Amino acid sequence: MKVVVTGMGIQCALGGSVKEFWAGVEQGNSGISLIKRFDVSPFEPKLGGMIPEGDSIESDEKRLFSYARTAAKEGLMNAAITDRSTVSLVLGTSNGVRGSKINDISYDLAEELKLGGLVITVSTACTSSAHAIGFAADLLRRGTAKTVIAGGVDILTLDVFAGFYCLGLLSKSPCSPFSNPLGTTLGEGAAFLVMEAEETAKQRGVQSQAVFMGYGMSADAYHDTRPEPGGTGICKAITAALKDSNLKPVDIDYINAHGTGTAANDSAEWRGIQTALSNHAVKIPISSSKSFLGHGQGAAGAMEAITTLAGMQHNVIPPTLNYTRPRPFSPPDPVPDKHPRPHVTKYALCTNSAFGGLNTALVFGRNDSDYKPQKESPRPISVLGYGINLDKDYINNFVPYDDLRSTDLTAQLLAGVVAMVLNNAGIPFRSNECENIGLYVGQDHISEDSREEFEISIRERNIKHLSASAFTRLVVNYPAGVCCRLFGIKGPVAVTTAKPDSGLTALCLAADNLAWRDDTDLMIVAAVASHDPDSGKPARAVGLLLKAGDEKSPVRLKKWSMFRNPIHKHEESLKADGGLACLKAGSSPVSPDLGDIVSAIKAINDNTQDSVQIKSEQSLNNMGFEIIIERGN
Amino acid sequence: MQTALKKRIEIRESTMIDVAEILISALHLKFEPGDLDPDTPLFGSGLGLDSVDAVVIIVELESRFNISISEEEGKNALRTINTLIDLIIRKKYGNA
Amino acid sequence: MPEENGYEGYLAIRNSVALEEETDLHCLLIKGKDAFKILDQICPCNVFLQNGQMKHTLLLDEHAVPFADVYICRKWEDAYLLGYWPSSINMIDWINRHQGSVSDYAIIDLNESNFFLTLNGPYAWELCANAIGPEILGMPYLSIMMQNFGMVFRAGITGEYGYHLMFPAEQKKEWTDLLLEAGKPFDLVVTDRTARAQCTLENFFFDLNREGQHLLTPPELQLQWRLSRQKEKYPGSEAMQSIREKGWNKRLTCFITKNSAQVNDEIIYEKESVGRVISIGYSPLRKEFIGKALIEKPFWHAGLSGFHINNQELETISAPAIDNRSIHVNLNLDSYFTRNENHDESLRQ
Repeated sequence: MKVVVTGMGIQCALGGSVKEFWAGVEQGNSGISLIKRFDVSPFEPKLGGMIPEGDSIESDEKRLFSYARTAAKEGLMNAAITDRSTVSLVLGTSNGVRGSKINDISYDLAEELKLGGLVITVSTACTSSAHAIGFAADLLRRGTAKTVIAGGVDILTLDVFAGFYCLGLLSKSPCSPFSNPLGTTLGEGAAFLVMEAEETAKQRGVQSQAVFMGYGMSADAYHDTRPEPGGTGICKAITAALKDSNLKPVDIDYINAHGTGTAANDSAEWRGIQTALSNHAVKIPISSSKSFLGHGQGAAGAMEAITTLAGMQHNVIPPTLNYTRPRPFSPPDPVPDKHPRPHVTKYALCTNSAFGGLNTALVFGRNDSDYKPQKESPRPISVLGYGINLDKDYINNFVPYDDLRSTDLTAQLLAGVVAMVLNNAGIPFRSNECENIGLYVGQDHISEDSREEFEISIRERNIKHLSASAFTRLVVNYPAGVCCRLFGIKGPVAVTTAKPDSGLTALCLAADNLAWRDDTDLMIVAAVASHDPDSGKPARAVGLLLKAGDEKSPVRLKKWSMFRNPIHKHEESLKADGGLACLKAGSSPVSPDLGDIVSAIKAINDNTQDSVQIKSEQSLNNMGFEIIIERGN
Repeated sequence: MQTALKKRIEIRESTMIDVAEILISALHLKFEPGDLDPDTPLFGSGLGLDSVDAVVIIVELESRFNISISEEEGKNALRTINTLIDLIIRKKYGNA
Repeated sequence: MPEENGYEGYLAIRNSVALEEETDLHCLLIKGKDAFKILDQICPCNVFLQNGQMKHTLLLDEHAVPFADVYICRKWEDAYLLGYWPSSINMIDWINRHQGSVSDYAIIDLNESNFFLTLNGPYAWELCANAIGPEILGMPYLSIMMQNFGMVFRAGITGEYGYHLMFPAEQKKEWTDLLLEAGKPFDLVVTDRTARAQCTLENFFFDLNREGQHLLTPPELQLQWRLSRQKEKYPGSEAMQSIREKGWNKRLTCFITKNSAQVNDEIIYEKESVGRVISIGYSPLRKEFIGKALIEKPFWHAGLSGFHINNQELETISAPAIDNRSIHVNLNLDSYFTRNENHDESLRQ
């Protein structure tokens, strides 16, 4: 199925609509200015890609919501969506509002805009919204969603600004990717794409604006904040994206780079691009929109996708502003102009990289582009193993302490369960086999201990002397990144977040990936919670190892699906079919989670069941799941 | 032994104990204080610390010893445990 | 006072790039399912390496005295043991003697078919990128990379950028010529181990030929960082355990003095001997002599003065003794060819 983009909406430092934003780009304007919203007096530099309208909004929550609403509304309007009851939302966000509220924005936005489809939140730091766009395409391709609005939102807060400052990542003047000075400038904003099947768009009589060709993702397995300097991670994401798009390196004629401006990012990214595109890389113009938008964090991927698409529509490519002189061994054509350059782009590549070492690559094509799916029919999926970990110290039995020096409870629990499933499957850590394994995690908040450590450091010292180490752990994908590093996992890695996160969204997305894509044959799906005040569950992690194409496996994942019931019917939906009650001994009824999948597998292994269906709806957000596990042949 | 030297040795020893304690607790190093030799490199080889640890060390030293360390001073002192001790002694006791 | 010439090799390591054919560098490849298990049997440190990672450690005898100064490396599922040990030691035999129940491994001596060229210096990265390829720039310190000609180990014990390049023996002339040619614009100097040894002394790196000859243990050498505290069993572990229990009362400390001295010369404080010289060499950058002395507790601290050696003053200092240029060279801003231009600090991150 060919997925097309039929609408775009943005709010960023250059304006509150695509039109305003693009006019700014054409005029060579920069959205980077002195920060007035919070007190930056202790810091130097004091710059940010700030949205002026945001300054008068009273709280972070409202600001985040306001940006998201403005951009999403524009997107829906631009796509001429009239029936919102079947529109799904895939939203990427990272730093905006910390703690257990990370996913509130998605539910609030869906409710405000009366979106009746699925609501999925992705939180993978600076790749959040790029992951969201990729997953949206998968939902459409698999028929799980009819129309999706996908993108992301983040705001610049004092915490994030101070954290980047303390890590020494901020540029002394507006950032100048691939040039001087070194360092980045943070920004904020919201951007959404409306995506749907070409057929749907035709039926609605709506003109498509671009074709979504494909996406790829990877993990560096290297460091919490720095990219793998050889760029192997970004190279892997690009290669996967080209494969998904059925394109070759020579087909790409523009790259919108992550290009944060930091020494570590830009050099690693360029090396990764060179490895992925070989000799063709030096012939492609590569620019970074962060030079005029700042680094939009979780929203960066979507903001940059819109910059790219707007350029394609106008037959130009956006420049890299503030470019003075080239860094040694940097891209030969970074589009170092003040204004967009005339250039016909047939296929554009957008890359992003995140804390925790995650990378994404998106490929967009012009309207006449063809699309060929990776697989005509899905591969069967089996369950190779499972684990439940309640012991934070369990992981210490397997990896030496110096590899897990400064970490937190969530990461320890998750690492323990990943160690369990790898051990059960006989896969040695950091082996060749791990290089391609994927990891999808369902996790609804950052680890409470890291958040406390961060807050205490500010309270007891001051904002300028915050705990840099705790700051690096404040991205939801930090525990996943730790697992990648510990076990050498470098395949597709992502983190979804619901409230509470049952891991079932991660399971469905992982199963889709295995069934339909060539990224990997093995995928670990896990859910982790360090504390869960709502359900009273103990801190724990649950994990499954899924394998594609194994016909002989004793346990099969027969069906996986997500749905959303717009009408609240908690009580009815809480009963599980198939004989496995979700009534846990001594506790109140709770929605099923990955733990119930584990129980189902055990029941099949024990010969007490041949097939178990788990069907239920999450009480808080009406997201429903139907999972069937059965005995293999 | 002359008092001046005795005093210097005492300062050196107590600062070493404090720095070792700070490194172990703030960076969660799995070493006993006696395992940390004063000329141990901090980055690359040695303790294998990274840029995030560097920030943590400076902030911890500033707050524990009530001193202010500039970026330049920090960069020059972040070589070994001994160069950190030199910096602290210089800041707290001058060059005496 | 020595003349200021005759130090071209040393100055190249400190200021530009030096090339050395390292005939004393050994490399073993350990293959097989148990490659890291056998490594774990012989090493006093944790061997759980990431793909491409190197780690600096020591191999100890039963008295916990190091007899080999090595890096352990991981490439995929293969282990490499790279480093310095006396040619009189048959390392493969020694490893096999410690195999215990570990059996699924094979050791290949890479020196039989390869040779090593090492580039050291603050601009070694730039020369390597030009001569071999820009992917070299993506190598962090202590990492290894496969190349179609052989392997690159980024390590170095001079305090400057260092790359050990392993080439097939039959390509020796070809690669030496290529690097010499590529090195011309960098004022490349061919050096021997003397220049390297002076640099390792200034940066307080261990030299098996120097302090390795005095039967000192890791705490006395200030090399406990090469060992993992959690590791319980390895050759020398019992001796190490006993040293930790009993404690030690002398250790190597870096010193400076204006005049030359000999190894084993006594260091005097108020007419009493408090230690002896283990190694010493002239530092052309500091324009004085730098050494390592085995000094007794409590005189074993850096930053002390009032000592004498052969009636000349001597003071102890913190290592490293040099503010290495490599620390200040930024791969994203600097180049050997712009080294004399004014550096705008505001460009730095």
